Amino acid sequence: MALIIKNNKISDNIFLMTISGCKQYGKPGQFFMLRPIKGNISDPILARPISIFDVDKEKGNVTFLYQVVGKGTEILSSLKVDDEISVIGPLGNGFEIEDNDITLIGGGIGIAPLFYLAKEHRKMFPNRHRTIHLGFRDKAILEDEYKSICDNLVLNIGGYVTDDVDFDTNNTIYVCGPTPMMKAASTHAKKVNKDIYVSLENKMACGVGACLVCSCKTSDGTKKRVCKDGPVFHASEVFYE
Amino acid sequence: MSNINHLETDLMGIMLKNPVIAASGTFGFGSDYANIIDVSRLGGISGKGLTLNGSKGNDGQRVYETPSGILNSIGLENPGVRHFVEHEYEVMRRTGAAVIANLGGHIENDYLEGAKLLNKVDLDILELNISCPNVKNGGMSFGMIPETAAEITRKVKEVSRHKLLVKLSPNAYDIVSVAKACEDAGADGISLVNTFLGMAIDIDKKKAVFNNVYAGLSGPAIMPIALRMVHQVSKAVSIPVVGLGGISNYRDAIAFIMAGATAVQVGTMTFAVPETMINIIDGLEKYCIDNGLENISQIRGII
Repeated sequence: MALIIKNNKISDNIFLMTISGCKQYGKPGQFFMLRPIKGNISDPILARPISIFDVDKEKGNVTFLYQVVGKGTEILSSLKVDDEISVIGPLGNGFEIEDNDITLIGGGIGIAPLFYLAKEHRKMFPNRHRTIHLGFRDKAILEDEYKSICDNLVLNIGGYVTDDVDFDTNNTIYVCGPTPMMKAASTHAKKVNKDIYVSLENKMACGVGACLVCSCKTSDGTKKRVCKDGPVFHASEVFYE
Repeated sequence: MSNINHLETDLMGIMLKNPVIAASGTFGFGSDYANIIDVSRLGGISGKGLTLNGSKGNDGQRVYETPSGILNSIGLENPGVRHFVEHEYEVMRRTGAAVIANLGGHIENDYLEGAKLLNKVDLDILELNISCPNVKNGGMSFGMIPETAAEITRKVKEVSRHKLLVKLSPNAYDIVSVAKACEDAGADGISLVNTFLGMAIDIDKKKAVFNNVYAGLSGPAIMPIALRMVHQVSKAVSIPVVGLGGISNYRDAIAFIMAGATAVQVGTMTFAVPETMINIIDGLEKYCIDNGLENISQIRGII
């Protein structure tokens, strides 16, 4: 159980929600299953998997950046300050934070987990370089916030964000966004024999690895659970044929 | 709150510490929820449905939410019976809950070879799944009519050394006849219901949501129908009945017990609220105390 501290619309259908009272905060790339407690909570029944945008350990707060895409997120967006919310998590494997220069590529709401990743990377390896590419269909969000924690920010509105990226680099590359974008990034990277990290999204029911709703195909023909084996995978694991 | 005798339940000669069991397909093999709830408190765990050689399950979307329910089309993704015997059984056993293996199949031989392999481990119960609606061949087709349900029950019973709980499909033409046929064929108990066949259509894409078109409906939406079927079957057979279908709190569980169930299984609501089964166990305990019951079985089948 957690309490809502803030739940503000920051752009069309995009909200920032801060909650307090999580027992654990989680690491970059992990997510929580969020579910309102009051009101009609059996339609929809399931909790919503939302990745961690930021953590404030001093205040004990976790912040989520999320997009309203259906009934469940619509209800989340209607929650008010001091409303209680059910939280399960942190869940999933999260990003490996490497002692290396990094390139982050985010598309749309997929930029969400990259903020905390860049912040933690800066804290752990302050002398390393961070480049971030943010792609949006119509307009940018949170540009200043991302600029403040990265050394270099490249914005792409309406085009293909992956076209701006130099994949032939020694940097560690992390990608989160729509599946076609992540596949495009994987294809670019594979051409230069580079493996990259991708953070997948899928519909989930349990979020903890029990129900197999979110299974994804892997390159060796087996299946993995996005919620528990992921959501972060090497592109070579899930996108290479 | 922990006087265990209130809830201790004899299910087909197997003693459960309480009558609350995690439903197959909703709880993995017991370890996935171990960091979230106290799994050792559960009466039993029915593991993910197994097939002889394992399966990658269905492609495409696997879940779709409906008012008070979900449609699923997992398609029995599972690591196979051998993997279960070698790796998952011990994990399940360590949970402290009764161990129930759920066995499905596409053809008769899958069931028989699977059941033989499962003789290698000390299961508490073998749950025979003749009711999965999400695989193209087999599964539910065995459970649709009494004759095929009885035949597979009889043959599995012959080769298995375990107590046999046969899980029925609510999609059968006459579930009471199927239940009676399974009893006559040697089933030690009956569990019902598996999911109801349903469908969803994406009207914007102008196509079915699921690759298989049809999928299985579970959750509170189905509870009144499941309760009615459990009531009917309980009246018709003399072997124990395990009731499931949309149970979300202790009051639902008590309704199933009053309708004749010896134990209950909980599935979909665990996804929404992982503590659901723990809350039900606590609620049943309190109900017994408040109503002066020595054991929950005193209200079994009173309706």
